[in-house]
Amino acid sequence: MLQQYFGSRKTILFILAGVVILALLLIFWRLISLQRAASESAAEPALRISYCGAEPEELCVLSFGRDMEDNMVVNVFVPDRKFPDFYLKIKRPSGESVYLCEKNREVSTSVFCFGEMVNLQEKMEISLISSENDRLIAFGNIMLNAILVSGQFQSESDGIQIPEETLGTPTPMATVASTALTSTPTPTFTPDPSYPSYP
Amino acid sequence: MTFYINVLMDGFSVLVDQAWTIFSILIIVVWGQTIFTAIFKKAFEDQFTFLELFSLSLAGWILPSSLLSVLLFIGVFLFGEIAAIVIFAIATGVFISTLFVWKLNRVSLLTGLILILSFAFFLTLKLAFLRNIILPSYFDSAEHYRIIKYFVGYYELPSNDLPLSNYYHVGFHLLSASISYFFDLEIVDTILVFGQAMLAILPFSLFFIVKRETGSNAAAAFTGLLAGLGWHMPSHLMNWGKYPALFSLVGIHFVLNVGYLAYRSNRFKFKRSIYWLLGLGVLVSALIHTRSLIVFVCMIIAILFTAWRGRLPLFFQWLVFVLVLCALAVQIFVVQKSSILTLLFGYYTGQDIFATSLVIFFLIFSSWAFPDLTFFMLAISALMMTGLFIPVTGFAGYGPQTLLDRPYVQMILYLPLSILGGLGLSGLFQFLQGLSFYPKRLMPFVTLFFVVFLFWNAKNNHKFYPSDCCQFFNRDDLAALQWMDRTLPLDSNIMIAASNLYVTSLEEGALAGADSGIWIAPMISRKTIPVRGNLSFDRSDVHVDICRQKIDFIYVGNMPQSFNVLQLDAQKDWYQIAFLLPQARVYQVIACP
Repeated sequence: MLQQYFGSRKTILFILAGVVILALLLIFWRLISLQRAASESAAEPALRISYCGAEPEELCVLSFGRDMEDNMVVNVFVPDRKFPDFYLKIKRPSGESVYLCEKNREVSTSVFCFGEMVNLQEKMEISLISSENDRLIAFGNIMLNAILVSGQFQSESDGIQIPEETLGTPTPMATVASTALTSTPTPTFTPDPSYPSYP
Repeated sequence: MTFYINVLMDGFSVLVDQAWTIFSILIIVVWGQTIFTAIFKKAFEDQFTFLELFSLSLAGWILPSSLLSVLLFIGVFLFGEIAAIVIFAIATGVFISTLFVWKLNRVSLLTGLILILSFAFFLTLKLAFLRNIILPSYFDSAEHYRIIKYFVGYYELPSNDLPLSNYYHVGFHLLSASISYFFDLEIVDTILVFGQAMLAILPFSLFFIVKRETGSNAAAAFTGLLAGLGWHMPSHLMNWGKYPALFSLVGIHFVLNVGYLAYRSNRFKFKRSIYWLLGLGVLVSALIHTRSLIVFVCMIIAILFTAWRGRLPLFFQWLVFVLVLCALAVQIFVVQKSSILTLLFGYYTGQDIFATSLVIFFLIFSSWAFPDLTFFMLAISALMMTGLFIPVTGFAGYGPQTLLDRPYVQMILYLPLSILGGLGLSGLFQFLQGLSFYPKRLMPFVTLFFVVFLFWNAKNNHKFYPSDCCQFFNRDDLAALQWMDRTLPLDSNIMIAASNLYVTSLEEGALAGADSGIWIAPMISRKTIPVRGNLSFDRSDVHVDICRQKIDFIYVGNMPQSFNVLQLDAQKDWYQIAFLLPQARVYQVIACP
């Protein structure tokens, strides 16, 4: 029956050979990955961690911030999607704190950590500890000079005039669900066309 | 040279990082290509060269692959998740049996190697775009993400809800969701890589029409190169997050190629089954992007117009030709006068001026050597531009629109320009061959000259990396959304910045997201209320209005049209900072009566 469907014995042999080769490749790949995992678990020197540059490529701290519960937020960049899960330990003159970290579900190279607030100008010794086996992954000394404010936010403090307006009418929007808001009409101004070309 | 090596290195690093995603997407493309080629060969036998068939199948893959994704959706709807397993098993079986039983064309090692290397080169170049990107660009992407997430969720747990009452661009989302679901890919990765893979594939499918018309492989390959590197489009679509529009181009290329075959039915052994292919192509393209239907109507009118012109005496043929050129000139003038539409040509006549000028120069030769196809391309351009001014009201629940909008026409202009360029190069060959003093051995050098020119132009003017214009999202936004997801109640109302949508000549103040807040609803499922970003938070009536709308939080991203943080910070009695990172903030609305 197989021969009737696939045409000839040669074709069946080709398919079987393909399946065997595929299976061998899978076994080979599995062996390699097991070997790699074993070698990774061997002692590795701890990495250094510092502030990120404009286009981060190595493990680094993207930014510090805070939340409404007065937690300090640490935004960490990890270079590899398969970077092990970790938590932060921050040593400073007033004591040592642990910061829980969560990988972003959508972009696994971004890790969000939070914990006790640190005072400005305080020197910190940050350690990244593996959640799996408490191994030190990376460490570095960082000083929190300020909760930085970006260029965009700063430029507005230079006195850019924002046209006055009350809540606008969210007319049908193609991209998000919106509620009906009543409002006064929008003042006329020269429109910025959507979908711009390069700046 | 160093420039291209650097871009290729960046692309290669993405290639390694996203190897599984790229492999999964290419498998679906190759699957569709194989099925299409087998069916086409069965219908038309060996009337086409390997290269022609390969080029056509690089547009034709979209038919079987889209139909597979539609079948998957219907199967899961009727029989649940088990249908997905059965459908994929059948698809694999069909693929294997097609490869072995239907005996696809053998290809010489050199041809195969050149094709693979050219594709790998284009793909790697295009992948460099993803080197430092976090999420797909601009506001459209968030909606595409949401719909694909809905479909992936649907396959895992079928429900009767629809993603939107006025939702109609189903093709791209179903296809992406199927791949994401079957190969277990992150949705963001699927969207990003699929877009770049399409940009790499698209130029190859334009080889067919120019090869059939001119018989010149060099001119046909030059057409593809023009389409890939000549202008900012279609690459810039990725900065706009217009993925369905990009995918509709695959359908448009296919319908154009097959439509051309139908028009030139006297040049091969014609079979009526070509109309089935055309119909299927139109259907799939419409599933991917409804506006492609308008392009097809323009194509039909342009074909009729071309056929009518062909019957006129020679003098009147040229008169009509000149009239269409004049109509185009008038349209360009009117478009340039409109503040909304002026962007249409801004870049084609700005950074892209060298490629555009080259095509204008080539127009002389293409209109001399291939007047019919040249006229068709000019006519279709004029018709599409006319679509910018024809109003349509109330379609699918949207407000006043025009048949085609400015971004769509801007996107598609590369298509007639590329074909005119290819025809022009072939026309130039014919012209030079007619000269008595022209040595024929110079022909490859003429081609090489224009190829080098294109690469030089692309190095200086083509953007291989994301544009700042449209990058809403940064890693602080990512952390802010993560914090909101773990902290804010599910029923929180979050106000986000929006700006007016201006893409047609009939806008009436529809809103579009203006910063990363647009990702809150699709990513963390909190309700968002879009409001124009230029709101005055220092006014008490604004605070009252915000309270009245039961808005709990205000999200501030890092774009020029985001909300004004200085005003928010100044009103500490009304707006309290809830989350702060350098480039992302969340304010809690307090003191509501």
